[in-house]
Amino acid sequence: MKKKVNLTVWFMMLPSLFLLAVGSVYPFLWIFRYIFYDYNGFTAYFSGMDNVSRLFRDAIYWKSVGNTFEYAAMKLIFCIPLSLLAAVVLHQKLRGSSFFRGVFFMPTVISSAVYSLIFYFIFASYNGVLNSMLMASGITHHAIDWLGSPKTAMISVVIVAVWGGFGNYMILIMSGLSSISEEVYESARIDGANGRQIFFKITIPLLGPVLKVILMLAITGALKDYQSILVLTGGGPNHRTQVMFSYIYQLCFGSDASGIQIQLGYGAVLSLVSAFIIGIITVIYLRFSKKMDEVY
Amino acid sequence: MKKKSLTGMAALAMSLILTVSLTGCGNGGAGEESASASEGQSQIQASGSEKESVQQSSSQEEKTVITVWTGARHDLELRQKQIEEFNASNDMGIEIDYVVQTDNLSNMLTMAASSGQSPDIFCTGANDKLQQYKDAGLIQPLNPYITDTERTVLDIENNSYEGGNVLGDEIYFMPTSRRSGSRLIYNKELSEKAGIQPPATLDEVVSAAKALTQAGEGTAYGVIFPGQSSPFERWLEGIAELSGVKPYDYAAGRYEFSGYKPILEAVRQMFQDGSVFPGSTSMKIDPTRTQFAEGNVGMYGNASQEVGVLTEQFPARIEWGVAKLPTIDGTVKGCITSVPENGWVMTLQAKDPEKAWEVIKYLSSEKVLVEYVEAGYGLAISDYIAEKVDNSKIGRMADFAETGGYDSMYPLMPPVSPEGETYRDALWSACQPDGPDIDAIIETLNKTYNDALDKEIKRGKIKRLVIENYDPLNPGKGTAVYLSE
Repeated sequence: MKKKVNLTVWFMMLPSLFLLAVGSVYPFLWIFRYIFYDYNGFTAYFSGMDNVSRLFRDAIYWKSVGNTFEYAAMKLIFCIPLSLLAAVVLHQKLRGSSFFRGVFFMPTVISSAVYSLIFYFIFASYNGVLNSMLMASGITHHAIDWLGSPKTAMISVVIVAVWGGFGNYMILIMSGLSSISEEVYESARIDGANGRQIFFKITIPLLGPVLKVILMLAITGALKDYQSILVLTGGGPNHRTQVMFSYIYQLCFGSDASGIQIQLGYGAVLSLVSAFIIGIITVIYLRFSKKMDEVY
Repeated sequence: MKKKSLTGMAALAMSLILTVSLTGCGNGGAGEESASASEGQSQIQASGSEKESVQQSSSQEEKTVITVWTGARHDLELRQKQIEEFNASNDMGIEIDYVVQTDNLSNMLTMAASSGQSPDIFCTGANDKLQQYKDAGLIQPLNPYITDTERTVLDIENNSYEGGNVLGDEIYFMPTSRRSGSRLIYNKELSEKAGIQPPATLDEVVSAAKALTQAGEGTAYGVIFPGQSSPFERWLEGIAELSGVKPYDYAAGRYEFSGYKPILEAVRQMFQDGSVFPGSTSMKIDPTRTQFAEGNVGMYGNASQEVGVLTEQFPARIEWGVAKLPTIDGTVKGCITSVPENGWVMTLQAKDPEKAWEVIKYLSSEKVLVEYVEAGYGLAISDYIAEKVDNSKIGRMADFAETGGYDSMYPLMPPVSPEGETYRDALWSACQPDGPDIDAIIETLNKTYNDALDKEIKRGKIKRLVIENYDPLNPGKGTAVYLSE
């Protein structure tokens, strides 16, 4: 009887297992195999551990790992508080809050390549909208090379990332807010709590479990971002905005230009190492964020 | 018990149905997905599937569909007209399915080759991937089909480049047009205002850029580079070639980058002087072209494709001129690469090689080639075609047709995958004022490229190319020797 039930369970899971095998396990094994090959997409040449040893000598990759952390940290520092603030304000059912909810969420449904292209023109140093505004208001007298200068390139891509990402997290936080009972707020007000106390003593603690998941999604998402960077700076100048996955993309897909060879084997090594790095960070985060599950 | 077993059986049946339907989706999915993904990919399915190679035409005649892939979009209007003419007039039962791959053509070919969905024919120029295509069993030589007509019209003897379109005695494609070498394109009005002539040496480039910037009075600048669209190869590499500097020392069979140092220093100087258009380092190619067309740039460099850009795509509001690129010290010591283009390669998966050849024959015919050159899309591949072309129709392309005897094609360097940056990326980084130390970059490139060369030769992936009696002014004339060590 138990055996039959088990069989049923397995058959019920079969479609999912099939998809998992085809969509995740097979690609993983495929990537794993090419770690040991110099593979240009046509012919694979066995190279032993060359790709792995190269990893430790590859200054650009390790620089891209550092850039990834910097990018992700800056994105989250601005994005999460901003989305929390916007969610709390717009949750107040004030006049026009639905409109702003829609406006802030809009970037989430636009392709990142498209809005990055728009920002590319906003940031343009010659006749760019941002520079024109700054110069007209007297903040600066010279055009700033936002995307071309190593000093400003990273902050520029972060601004685009925050603009593109915060509406999404705002909606997720709002769904968490709607699950907090109105009675809790009411009794706090009767007890004489002010707005700040309500926010820090009621809203934040009760949002804990939701925030924990949102933060995890935000961290992994920020560490994997690369599309808008490829459009805005291509990883430049001088690899200043090169992140892990933009570098891997360039190795694996190259370009039509003569003299550039696709390096799928080495790209495979970097993909696995990068996935491992993100996995470790996620585990560390989950360990440290255990307390957020405690709902009073 | 009975109820439970019935439930179990129902669940089993449902899961089987689901699995089968999903598997069904999996089998057909590739084709369906590709059909909806883009026009290009939908064509893959049509050409890759043998049973679909024969289609019913409107007149109920059976026609063989020959699929042709290209990465070129700029000449599509003319190509479509030529293809329509062929499809309507040929009596061999051939229908050309001409597909412009909107994605990276090289990547599409890689994927198509590994999944058995190659087109019958694809378009390419001389590049260093030919050996890879051959090793992967993607392409076949055209020798059995080539006749004296092609030899005359396309001047095959002088348009055979080892590793580029020819491997040994095997001809894999016949270039049908040519892109000029890089030229200096300059703003005549701003140059007159600045009182300068097109520079002939690197020092003159630096001083001209400064003078042009001063004449620009804060709205126009001396030079521009497309920092995000191959900035180094557009004209800096051309300056190096004319000065006899190449990344590969053909006589010694090793990579050597020290010759680039004066060029890197000159560009760095222009950045420091404020002579480079602001934002160049993050600009793509088209924004740089529009700035030149608007009159905001004094000079830049590129090849003959700029004719269509500055007359049709972004018609220039200023008078512009074309001049030979400068050299390091004013002396021409080498040729400048003029890429043979629009070669039609027959794949090994071509359904009907005889009919595929008929398509290649048509696309390489005198009529098609003359139309192509007269439309301003490229330069004549041979003297034969040049004589047939009505020069009054080629417009500003005539400026680029002036080769000075220096346009040529270098033997393909052994393609290596160095650890770290490609030389073009690294040298461009070194051009910037806050870039890495120039000597250190050159030293690193010499090491990474030669290490990769040695390693890949050892691995059997490539061979070392040594050219005996190498002369950079006649790069195709020496004797090529391929070494396995």
